[in-house]
Amino acid sequence: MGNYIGKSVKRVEDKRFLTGKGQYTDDIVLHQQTYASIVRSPYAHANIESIDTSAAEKAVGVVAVFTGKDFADSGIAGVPCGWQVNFKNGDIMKEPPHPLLVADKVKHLGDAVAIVIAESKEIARDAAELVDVSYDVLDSVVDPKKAAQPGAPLVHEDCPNNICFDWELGNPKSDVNAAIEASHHVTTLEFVNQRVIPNAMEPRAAIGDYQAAGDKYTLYTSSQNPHLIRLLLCAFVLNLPEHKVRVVSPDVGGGFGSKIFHYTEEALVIWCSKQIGRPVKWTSDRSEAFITDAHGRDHVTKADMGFDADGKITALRVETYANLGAYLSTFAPAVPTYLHGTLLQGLYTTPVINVDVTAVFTHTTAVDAYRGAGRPEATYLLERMIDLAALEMEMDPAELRFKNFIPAFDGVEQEGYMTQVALQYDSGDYDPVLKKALDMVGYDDFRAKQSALDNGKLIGIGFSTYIEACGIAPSAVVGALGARAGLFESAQVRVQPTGKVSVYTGSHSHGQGHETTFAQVVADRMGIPLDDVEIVHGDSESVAFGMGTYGSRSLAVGGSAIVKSIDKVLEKGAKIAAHLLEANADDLDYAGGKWTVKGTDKSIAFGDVSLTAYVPHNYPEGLEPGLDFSSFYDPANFTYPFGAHIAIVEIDKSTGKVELQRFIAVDDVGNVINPMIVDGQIHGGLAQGIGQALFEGAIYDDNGQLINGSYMDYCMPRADDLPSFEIDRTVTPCPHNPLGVKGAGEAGTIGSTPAVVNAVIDALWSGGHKVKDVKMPMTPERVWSAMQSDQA
Amino acid sequence: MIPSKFQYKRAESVSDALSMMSDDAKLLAGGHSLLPAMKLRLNQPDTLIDISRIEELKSIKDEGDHIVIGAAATHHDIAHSNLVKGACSMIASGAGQIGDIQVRNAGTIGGSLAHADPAADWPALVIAAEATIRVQGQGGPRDIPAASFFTGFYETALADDEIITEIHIPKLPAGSSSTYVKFVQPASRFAIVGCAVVKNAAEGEVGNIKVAVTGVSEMAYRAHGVEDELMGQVVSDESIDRAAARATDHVDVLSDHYASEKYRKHIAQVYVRKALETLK
Amino acid sequence: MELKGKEVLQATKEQIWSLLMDPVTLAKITPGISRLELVEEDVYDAIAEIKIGPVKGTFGGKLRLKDKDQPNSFSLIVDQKSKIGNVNAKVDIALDTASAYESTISFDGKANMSGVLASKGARVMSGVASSLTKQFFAALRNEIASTEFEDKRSNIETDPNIKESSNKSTMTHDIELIINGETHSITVESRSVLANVIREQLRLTGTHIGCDTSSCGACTVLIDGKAIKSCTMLAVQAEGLAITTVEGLSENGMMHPIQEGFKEEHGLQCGFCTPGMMMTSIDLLHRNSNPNESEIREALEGNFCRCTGYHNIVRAVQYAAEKM
Ligand SMILES: Cc1cc2nc3c(=O)[nH]c(=O)nc-3n(C[C@H](O)[C@H](O)[C@H](O)COP(=O)(O)OP(=O)(O)OC[C@H]3O[C@@H](n4cnc5c(N)ncnc54)[C@H](O)[C@@H]3O)c2cc1C
Ligand code: FES
Ligand code: FES
Repeated sequence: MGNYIGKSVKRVEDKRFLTGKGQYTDDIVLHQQTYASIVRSPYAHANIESIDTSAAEKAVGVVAVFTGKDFADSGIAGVPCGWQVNFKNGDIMKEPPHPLLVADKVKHLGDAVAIVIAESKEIARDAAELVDVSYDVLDSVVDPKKAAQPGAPLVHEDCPNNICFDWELGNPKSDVNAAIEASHHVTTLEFVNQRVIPNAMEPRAAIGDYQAAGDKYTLYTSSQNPHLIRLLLCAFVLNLPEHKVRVVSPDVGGGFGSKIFHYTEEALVIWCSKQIGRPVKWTSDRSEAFITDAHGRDHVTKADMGFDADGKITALRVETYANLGAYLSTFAPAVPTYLHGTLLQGLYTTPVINVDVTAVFTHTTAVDAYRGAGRPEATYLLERMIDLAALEMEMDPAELRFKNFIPAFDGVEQEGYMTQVALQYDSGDYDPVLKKALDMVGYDDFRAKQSALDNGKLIGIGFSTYIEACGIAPSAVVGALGARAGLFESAQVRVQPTGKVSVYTGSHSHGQGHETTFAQVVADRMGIPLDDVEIVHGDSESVAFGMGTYGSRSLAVGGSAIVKSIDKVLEKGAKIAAHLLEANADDLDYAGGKWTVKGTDKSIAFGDVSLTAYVPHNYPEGLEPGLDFSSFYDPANFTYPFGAHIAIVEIDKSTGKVELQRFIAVDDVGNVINPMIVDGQIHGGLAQGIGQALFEGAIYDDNGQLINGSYMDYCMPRADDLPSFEIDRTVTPCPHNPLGVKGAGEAGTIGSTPAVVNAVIDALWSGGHKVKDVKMPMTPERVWSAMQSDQA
Repeated sequence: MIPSKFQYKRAESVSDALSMMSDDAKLLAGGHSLLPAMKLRLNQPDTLIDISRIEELKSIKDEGDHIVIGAAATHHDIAHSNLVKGACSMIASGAGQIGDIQVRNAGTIGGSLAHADPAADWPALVIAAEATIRVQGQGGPRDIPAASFFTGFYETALADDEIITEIHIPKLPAGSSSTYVKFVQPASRFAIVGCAVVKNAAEGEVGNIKVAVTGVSEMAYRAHGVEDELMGQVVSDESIDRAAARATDHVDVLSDHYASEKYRKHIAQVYVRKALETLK
Repeated sequence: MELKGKEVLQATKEQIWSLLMDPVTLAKITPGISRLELVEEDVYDAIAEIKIGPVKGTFGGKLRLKDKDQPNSFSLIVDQKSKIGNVNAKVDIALDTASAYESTISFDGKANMSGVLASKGARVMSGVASSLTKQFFAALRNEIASTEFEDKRSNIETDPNIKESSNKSTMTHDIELIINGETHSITVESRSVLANVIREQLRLTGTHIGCDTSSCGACTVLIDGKAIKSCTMLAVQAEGLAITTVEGLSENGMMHPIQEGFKEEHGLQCGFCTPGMMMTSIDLLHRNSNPNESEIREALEGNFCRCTGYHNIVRAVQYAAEKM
């Protein structure tokens, strides 16, 4: 393929991180900078009776204090939602305002009521304590199913039963009901896909900097998509002139979805900076992060899966209550619908599917996309159901899957697979991933060992064969589904006169290594050394436009945009080369960084051509000087990575503690540019998916207090909680983008959770405890209780 | 996160520290219990008296039939001390199970004892080891047996104006054994149950097994029920079973979102059994 | 938080009732109450100082008695605010005759906590209810033992010297910090933690802050060669000690083996946890030059990484071990 593509090139960006020279938002200090501390509600639901800011205002070093009233007075409604889903009956979803600071009624723990700006962090923090807020505490509701019942406390008065919208997809319910009725066996499961907290290690931060001279605004923010933030901030929140606003996302310490969204604090610091005429910095504490970063998952679901006597799936029926939290975060409506319902075909030929979703407001932190976003929920459902069905029908879970897999199709010769739930898969070959995973695990040996075990332990094996839709997304398609933005990507390839190449991409990198992977693509496509390529991202001033990084879209969409620009560069370059070589452009070949006249040894190097483009003394007539092209790439379809994950667990019977002994993942993410980086993405994804299965979960009490809002109580996986992973891949190229890539950022998370849970259930059944479900996270107590309650 | 304002004073010696003590002052040793609480502003003392640089509080010494661990010795120093390993091995292995490397590099035995977190490891270790805690006040030193040092939920027999200076740990004669096992709360890594067991060889094949449990109740306790069951008994599967069943006799068992009362009680029995099994 | 309990006391229902309705006694036996003032029938202004383990706070607010059915039952409603969080509770208290000289008192209710207290104090607060009720009953028993019953109702302050928030002068210190071999003379506040001083005053921003509970390890630096969470040490405590931050790892442009290891084995993604990870790894490698996988994983238990799943971090440390 060239010198770089397909090779584990060491990362270009590492040096700055390894020497402490990375620059995250909180590392930036601007001249005359002030510091903000936000006063937040200690209650989930309360009327604000009064706010007394006088003591805080008088404190030495305090610059200003603002409350919700200041924003209400200036007519600022709040942050918008970027996706609209309509009710089944066609009514528009309920879209209550999400104010920057609350003036009247707080709706979740951590809702912001005042901002204190001071000369130092310390002073701001001290003065925030002096803001005296009186609350009249009201009843609250945290569970989505309970919230949707009549009589539940209302989050928004004008939103009956707290229902934001209801939504349905797939075959008519009557058809699905009939197919279920007619089934030989029906597996039914009611379960919770619990709320998890993303916990990127860098807490969010934002600096607003308004310069009156020039009327310019700059926002530094720990965001996955600076341009999107600029668009929302300017057009929907503060009504600012977009061309006067610059948004910079410098190094960002992980996102996992939680840094996609436009947060109130971003608008707050910009607005406050204009009021006081100085930069305002806000950096979240971890405590604040726990209650203000958008959370993930939180579905309460009931599903029925029908089978014929042979084990073929006959129908799937799904009912889900999706918790949205107190406000609509930027992409919240899309997650339980178009990123969840559309994936319920899975890898299987299920003939009829119906999914019914009720999206509900509760007095909790907003819920939005978290690594995988909707697809983990869909995969969890399908993979739990099929493993459980295998246990119930006494069939082998791997066999049952093989029986139901969609036959292979490459998307070129054979058409893409049309699902019952709106999507058309691009290309897929599902048997090999599971076969490979089974080989790696030594399946037969495992079963023999399992039945022979007699040491106070139970062991179990769990499978998950998943598909996901990423490379987000064809704009026309998502537009029809309610997206209020296009989901293309832009790229500019600027060849400098000396032949060095600067690439400006709208894809933001916050750990994914774009600066390396993208450079590999550019260097190979252009036949130049990697060192001659610089990837620039994260600054709306230098990058023309961008939709950012999420939904495993960077390479599939952003990378494709780069390829388009490279093609344009090479096309124009060929014209210049042809002129210099006195040949016809059609007679030139481009390889190894030079144009050669076919069948001759006459050639000219890329650097000579680029120099000529900028010093056009001897130049083709009618051709513009310069070598600099921009492109926008809008994908034709989503991409559909898939894979097979297998977990092996051991349960200590005396304590219920689960030890994950092995984790095997065979993923197919299409073509791979940098195997090292792709493997790293899979590893990280696995850890998060495993984390959800075994360790993580937000716990709200009935009053809406998050009672595990710190690392002393919220359990994130640590190094000694996890084994080394055994991973491999197959390659089924994506047929519709120029790189043939599918996306690897979320696959690990999407596939892994059910594999672990299935393994625990398998272990329990092997010990005679025929339970259908153990709630996640599968803590020792829960697993132990399962062994007590069902002493079969 | 930033603590509220306070004054910082560094003590050069124990008497120096004693002279600085006042109503709203707190001693600062490793800071790994106090500073996290202060950063969250759960505690806002006026003055901190830093005792972490007092050399006399940091040593680990051999004094014949017992060893003396200075109150400001870190968990790390204790875990790696050959003297400690030789005198009573669980003291070293238990210290090595506290928190993580960084916590062990900073946190001190004295700080942990004074703090008396009901889920901390040291309380069980010192109780089972029958250690003596020497404290110093204006009126001079006094010795408090570990068994009566902990008086309640985060409460100790230490007076407000006293400093823990030394922990005296009796040496176990050859042939004795001691062990500490811990079932951790996976987020904080504190103990849901920690069980320390000492079997003193000087007292014959049977008898005199000391068992202490932490994490289970509002304070660490000596599991007398367990000990009674084993009194005069050869340690066997049967006697261990009977003994472990009494792990939580006469104590109120804590309950939280990670371990309910019922489960904690069960784990206490499992871990007492686990510890006793090492004596077989 | 559930509040539930039952006790037998050596007094009649009427006697206990009279004690509980007397503000002087109530103030005395309720843990932490430093001031109780009757402001209207059955409504008290109360100030309480609660100190349990690491938690200490001054609460102010109202206590209300409701649904009084003398001498059988009443409800106690508590609305208390403090800087560390608020407590709202309702407890139903019932008295019953057990024998001629004994009565049972039972209570059943719920206390709701909010704010920091609820989310961070959980480990502590779980035991608080039982601890406070025990204190309450011990005090009530004492009171019963020492009372000749008669009615005495008045407004009181048990502690006339309620602490004015004492004078917290901003103590600052001129200190020398030795970082990466360089001595910096700076002035720090007592309360400045080392991590903040390194980042904000010395502008060495490679040391990161990822949490506020001393859990994540992103702030780890070496002090006299040992890995220390710099968010959990006061800057003034580090005076004169040799501090190494990530900026001091490479020498003369040569990467330290641990840096090389992280690069070669792709031990980092977003890079936020990386400086802390490397510092802890160095501490490990100093005491164990050839750690196996499980020793590495255990040694890094105080450092979170959300990106890598730790897989390649283990390899990075092994790589460095080979090189060192
Ligand atoms: C992330 C993390 C994990 C942890 N995990 C564990 C664990 O698994 N097991 C465990 O047991 N602990 C654990 N700890 C607590 C740790 O062991 C603390 O170091 C210890 O509890 C307190 O010791 P210190 O020296 O840090 O005390 P400090 O925080 O300095 O002081 C604690 C209290 O003791 C007082 N004090 C200190 N020294 C003296 C003295 N000599 N005389 C009288 N009073 C004194 C102080 O005034 C203060 O009130 C953990 C802590 C953290 C941050
Ligand atoms: S910031 Fe120091 S441990 Fe998290
Ligand atoms: S590399 Fe991102 S947290 Fe470790």
